[in-house]
Amino acid sequence: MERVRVGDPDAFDLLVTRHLERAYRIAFRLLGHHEDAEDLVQESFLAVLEKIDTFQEGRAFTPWFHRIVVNRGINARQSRSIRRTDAIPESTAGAGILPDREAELGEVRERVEEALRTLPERQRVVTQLFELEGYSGAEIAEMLEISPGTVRWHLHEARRALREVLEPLERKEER
Amino acid sequence: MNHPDVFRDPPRDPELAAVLREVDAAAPDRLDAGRLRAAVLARAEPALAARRQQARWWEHAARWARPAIPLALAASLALAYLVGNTTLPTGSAPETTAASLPHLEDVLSSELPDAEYRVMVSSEGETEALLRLALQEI
Repeated sequence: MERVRVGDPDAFDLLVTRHLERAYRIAFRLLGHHEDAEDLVQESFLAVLEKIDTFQEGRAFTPWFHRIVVNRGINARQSRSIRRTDAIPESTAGAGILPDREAELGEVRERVEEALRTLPERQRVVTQLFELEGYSGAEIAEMLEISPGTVRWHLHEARRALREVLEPLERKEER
Repeated sequence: MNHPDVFRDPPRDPELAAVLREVDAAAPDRLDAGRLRAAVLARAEPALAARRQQARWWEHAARWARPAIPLALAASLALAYLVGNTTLPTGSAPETTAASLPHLEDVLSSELPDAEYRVMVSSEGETEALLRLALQEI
């Protein structure tokens, strides 16, 4: 970090290479759009250069950086209209799957997408970071600057809402 | 559903995760990491260059500061010595000698001008003499 502080491009390159993919995944979870997520990642790394003088040596870089990404992502959502989430490419949906099954999967996806969209933003972000990205409650708490207990509460509420959507679909499937 | 345990993370829900992953299947595959990395580095270069410039300036300043600080300190000490040893022009402060200092009896028995009184009570040279006088009085 000291080398980045004095403008060493190789040190910065190493930092970017290590953290880029994870940052992109978080950005995509927040914004739901590929290009927006890429823009957010670029802005977040630039913010690192702006704020690096306030970064305390010895502290872990990853949670600090992820907090920058999350805060900027939440601001981006609030300040601009969010384009619709990219449609799932056809190649991922249905090769070798029967038409009826594909229709069922399509219905599940639509219902889950809709349920995710109606979740309060914090609950949606917490769920995606926990269930899809594998972060712990403590890591998510640090990123979002909330308590771990609040993270767990958000997760509980989001799961309850999503389960309410999924259970009827599962019962339908069993018939 | 029961109240959440706010002290521990809940167990992972693989079923829910699988459904969510279905919905978000496109996300990781879309990333062209090489292209995004190049874009980040290109945008960051002006800020990095500014930091390199600033670091060079500080290095330059530090090189000059190494001899300059001791020199400045020596000059300050010399100036302080010269100022301290400069004699004041006559008449600017009362000249006091042992003979001109009033005695304790004079203080007690007569009205002493303020200036003399002040000199008597503040004069370090006469402290012992005053103590002796006081003891004699006792």
